[in-house]
Amino acid sequence: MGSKIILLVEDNPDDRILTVRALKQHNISNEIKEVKDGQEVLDYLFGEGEYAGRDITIQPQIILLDLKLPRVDGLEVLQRIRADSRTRRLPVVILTSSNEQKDRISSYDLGANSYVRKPVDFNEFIEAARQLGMYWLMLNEAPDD
Amino acid sequence: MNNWLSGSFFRQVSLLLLVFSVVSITAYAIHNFYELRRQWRDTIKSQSSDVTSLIALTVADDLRYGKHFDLWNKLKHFQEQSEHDQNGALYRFREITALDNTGNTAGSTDPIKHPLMQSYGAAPSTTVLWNSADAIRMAAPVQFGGEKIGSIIVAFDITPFRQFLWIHLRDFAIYLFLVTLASVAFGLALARWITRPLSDIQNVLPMMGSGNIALSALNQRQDEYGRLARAIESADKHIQEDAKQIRMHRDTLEETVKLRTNELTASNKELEAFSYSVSHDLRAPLRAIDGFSLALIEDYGDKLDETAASYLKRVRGGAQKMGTLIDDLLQLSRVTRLEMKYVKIDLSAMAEKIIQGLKLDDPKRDAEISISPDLTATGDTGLIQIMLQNLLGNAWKYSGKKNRSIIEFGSLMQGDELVYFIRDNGAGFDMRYVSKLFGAFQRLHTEDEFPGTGIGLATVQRIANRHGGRIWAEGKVGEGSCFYFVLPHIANQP
Ligand SMILES: Nc1ncnc2c1ncn2[C@@H]1O[C@H](COP(=O)(O)OP(=O)(O)OP(=O)(O)O)[C@@H](O)[C@H]1O
Ligand SMILES: [Mg+2]
Repeated sequence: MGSKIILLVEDNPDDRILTVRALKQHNISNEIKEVKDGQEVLDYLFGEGEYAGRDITIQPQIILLDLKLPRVDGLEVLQRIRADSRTRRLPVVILTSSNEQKDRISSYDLGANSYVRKPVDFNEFIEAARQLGMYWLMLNEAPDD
Repeated sequence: MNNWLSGSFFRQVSLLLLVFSVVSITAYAIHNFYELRRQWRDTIKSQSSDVTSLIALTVADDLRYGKHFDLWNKLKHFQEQSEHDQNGALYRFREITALDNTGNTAGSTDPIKHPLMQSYGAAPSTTVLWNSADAIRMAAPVQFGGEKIGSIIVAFDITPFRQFLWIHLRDFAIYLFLVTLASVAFGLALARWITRPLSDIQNVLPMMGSGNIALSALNQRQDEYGRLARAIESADKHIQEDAKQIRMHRDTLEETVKLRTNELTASNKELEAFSYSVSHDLRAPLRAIDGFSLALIEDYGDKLDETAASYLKRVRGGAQKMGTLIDDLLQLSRVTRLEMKYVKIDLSAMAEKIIQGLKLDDPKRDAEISISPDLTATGDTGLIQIMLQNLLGNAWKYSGKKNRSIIEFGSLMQGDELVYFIRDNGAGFDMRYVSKLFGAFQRLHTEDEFPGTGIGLATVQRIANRHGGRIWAEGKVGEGSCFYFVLPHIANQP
């Protein structure tokens, strides 16, 4: 079923490194595509701007999306993803930095599939993936533990 | 009709006056008419009887000596003379007849004698024989030398009198009509005069408080209306003055409220933004500190000696503690900001659940917990949950060093107020510092004795305040503490 790219949208380099490390540490060996701002995600998903000409039939399996992003913020990115038929069905997991933020987000209906606390609480991530029916994402690569 | 009458004082008064004047004038007129008629008749009777007696005296000689021609001449002379109005008397002889003692006519001005005369021939004194609407007939004896020798019968025509009476009556009717008219007009004017000021006053009353009321038609008068008008005018001025004052106060008050609300909204927004950036921005560096320390421990643990590893653990501990602090602070500010939704809450069940959670985290604890059944309150579930969590959490925490924790949650009546309490047999506290208990970051125990940030009770107090309630505490070092709180019953909330 196509690629097994995890798209990580995060502007803070510390959080990017820690997230990638956490995923790797838990033996997730999927390709992790890192993007740094909202405009870049959209360009990547729709094959525009610096990603012009990208084969957009290849889309990530899951998007980890920070909300506070430069240029186009996370909420708008999410709305654009949900508004476009090509990306409507992509699973999006919101990265939150506190309970407060999580409460704030859950009060809107944004069409996010799940929430994970930064810098990826691995248990929360597994739970989210399980809810999204993406167990296989981990299972294929992860050795039994 | 009833409505028409009762609708206006003016109508009532005018109708009353009308009825009164018509009835009284009519009664007076009728009485007057009959009195006049009686007087006139009496006058006519006495005058005509005088005249009759005079005639009888005049003809006595002729009748005695049978001088019929002289007699007849005299009678005719009388009759002719009476054609004229004498001394204002309104009578006329219709006929004059003289009878002798046998009842035979000795002489008459009337060629056809009335048959009734015969029977009155022997009238002993002057008498009214017959009295009709247009004539009076009178008889008088004729005497000669103290002896009755016959009688004189005179028929008086009183039609002129009747005419006079009718004219009089007509004049009277006209007079009556005019008087009635005048009295009605006067009555109406009077009623108007009385009620007019009333309706003038009524018309201005809706303007009461405008300061524009001027009853210029009335306010110079010295009577009750004048006084009333002046009282109304001054009341109007006073009310206007007061209303102006009130409006001014209200305006300032409204402005102040608006200003304060704006300020409050602004500061709330600011707080919101602040909390948001606290939760977001402060956490990022914390995550880096904690995350990279962890990475160091996990990835390079073998290259670090024990001291380095323990330092890194302390770095993590500090970062995590700061994370909790931030969370607690945010909760404290959220407790004041969040909108409340009042529902009925089963406090007993809620406390039971919290205790279960505490036991789960500390399964080895020997604890004797008693929670009164059926404790309920009205409040915001989320906030009350935080409140009980903190109070029971404290009781649990500060009784942790006893062999056996005893915790009690119940209620008691103080006056007419329902007071809830949570009591424990823990470390207690010094009552001298009781005032510091509820301040943010205020702690009465050291971090080594009992860990904590000192923000729990500050949060609890805010929750009690937001519900319009109160909280206070009692404690004794080494023996335990008791926390009391009141949540006012809000009847109109479900
Ligand atoms: N049940 C209790 N028995 C004795 N002392 C108490 C009790 N509850 C509170 N205190 C005292 O009041 C102080 C403030 O309590 P508070 O709950 O605000 O903070 P904390 O428990 O220290 O930290 P946290 O914010 O984690 O709750 C505590 O430090 C403690 O000294
Ligand atoms: Mg506490």
